[in-house]
Amino acid sequence: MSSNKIVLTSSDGESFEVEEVVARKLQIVGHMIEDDCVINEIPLQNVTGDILSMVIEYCKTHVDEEESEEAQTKLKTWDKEFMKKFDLKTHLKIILAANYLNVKGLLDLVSQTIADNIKDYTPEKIREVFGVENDYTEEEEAEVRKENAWAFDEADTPKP
Amino acid sequence: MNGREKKVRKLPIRRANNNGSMTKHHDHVSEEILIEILAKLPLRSIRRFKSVCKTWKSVTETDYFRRLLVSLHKNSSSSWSLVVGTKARDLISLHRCETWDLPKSLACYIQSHITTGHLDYVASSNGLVFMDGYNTSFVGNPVLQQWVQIPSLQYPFVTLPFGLVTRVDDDGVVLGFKVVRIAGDKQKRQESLTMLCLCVYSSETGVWSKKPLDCSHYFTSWALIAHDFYGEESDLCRVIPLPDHDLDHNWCFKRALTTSGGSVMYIKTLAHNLLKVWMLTKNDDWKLLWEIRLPFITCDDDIPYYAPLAMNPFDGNIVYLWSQQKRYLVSCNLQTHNFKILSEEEVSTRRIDDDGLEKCVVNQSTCEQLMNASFDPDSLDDCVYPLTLFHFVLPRWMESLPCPPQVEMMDTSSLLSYILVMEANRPEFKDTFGIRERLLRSRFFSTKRRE
Repeated sequence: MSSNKIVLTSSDGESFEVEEVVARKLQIVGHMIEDDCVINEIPLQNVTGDILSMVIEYCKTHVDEEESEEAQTKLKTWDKEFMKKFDLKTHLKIILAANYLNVKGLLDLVSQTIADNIKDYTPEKIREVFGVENDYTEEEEAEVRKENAWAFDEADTPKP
Repeated sequence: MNGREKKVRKLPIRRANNNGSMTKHHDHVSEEILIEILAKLPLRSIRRFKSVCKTWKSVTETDYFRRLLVSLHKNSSSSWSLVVGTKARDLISLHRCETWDLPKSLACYIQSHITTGHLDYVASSNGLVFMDGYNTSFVGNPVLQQWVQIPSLQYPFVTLPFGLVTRVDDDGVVLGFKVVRIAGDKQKRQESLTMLCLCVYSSETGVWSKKPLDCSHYFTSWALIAHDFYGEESDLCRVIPLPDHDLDHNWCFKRALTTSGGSVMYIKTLAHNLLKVWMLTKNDDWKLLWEIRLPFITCDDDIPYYAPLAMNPFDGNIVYLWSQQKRYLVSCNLQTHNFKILSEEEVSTRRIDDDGLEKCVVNQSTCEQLMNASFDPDSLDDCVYPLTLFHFVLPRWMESLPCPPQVEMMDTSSLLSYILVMEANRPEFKDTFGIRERLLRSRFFSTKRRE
């Protein structure tokens, strides 16, 4: 196993020295290494230092993906605790970073965490949290709601 | 679509300035990331979030999204209820599953139509149910609240609702259904006793057709009769003897027929805490899957104290057993030997316990009633007919009901108001209902001894 060190630099100029095996977890870096366009320092322009440090923490923990059931359970528990540290806003930042840096495991983990957290939201709350504009007309929105009435809370569905 | 492959090199965050401003806003979630998140939501949330905005609706309506979601959920359970009788009372249910996350059991969705609409529950298949009422019947999806009325059958003899079959694609999306009715006694007497006179309504053609089936065997409690309504054009039935049909049945045992993972399963509990489970293979052979001593019983007795109820419809390792002494239902994973007593309420919000058993809830009083009627705890002779129960299982995707030609789809409220009008004009209520109820019950409680 190579013990080469690679320096990752965030968009706001923060540098992180990590082992090559850890850096390779960022597939964007992995591809650069394979394409031989890496020396030691890699600027990552789309991610800030605070988020990059979280991504690196994840990659360090997941560096040896052991097959054993025990190790898997341990990792899962760590994942859960790791995600608990952040709020939805940060989760959304991490998911953008995970997608850009191409860390598949983290992308799945964060998207699942976000999904679990928002699953009971109303459409109004979703718009607020995601900053999405409602582009339906009043009639269109009423129609979509009617078609999916069963998916709303009890109060909106016919009582037996 | 090759969205997955595309992702590898694509940098989806396109921004004018690259000086770290992505942290200022979080409203720039690209469609690609949005799909990642949405595909991990339960179907109920996905449906609700269609009203967020047009993009959130359109990304969830592509074939790519459907396949992604189905593949993510392929190893987890969908919602299901083990239902019994024409009132669709549930015995066990799993509704807070990852795929659907429903607030109440599936049986509740059916029951609201029974009580308000004077309908009887007949059968279910891949998320659709067949409901029968006075002079009319319906097929629908009680969760999505879509219904079609099945035209009345013009037939010289009384027919009774018999079953529902569906045709599905690889993702479990229902492509079509067939409603099956059976001609009543009069018709049967006129033809041969081994003839089943069936009438089949197909959603593809929208018409009824007569289908006589030659069973050429008498019905016994030791064989299944199989016919593929989508595969075989012939009028032949396959008779499949149960795996233990030729054994000497002098000792005490209890047995049930059920399904799991799309296969027919046959469960038997015997003396000395022995449990056997067979699966029916594609070649109509029985394969013995399990032959074990139940791990959670300490006493070693001649009487099987546990009566089989059913298996988990997804996990062929999980069997549900009724303790006749202690009057509770045990969920037992035969692979891991984990077991637990099912309770009426969800204990925690976690979907799967650490022991790998799904978070099912049990309806204690219905279970007790059914098991008392099916297995007499003091009798050594319970084995006339196996207990046969059916799961109502939702598919892992919510597709619109296949609509037969020239039939209009109804939502629940128009269905109910239609039935109320029909009911108001109904001449004699009690007689027809009584016969039908009795006949239907004889199918579902088939373990009851027949005279």
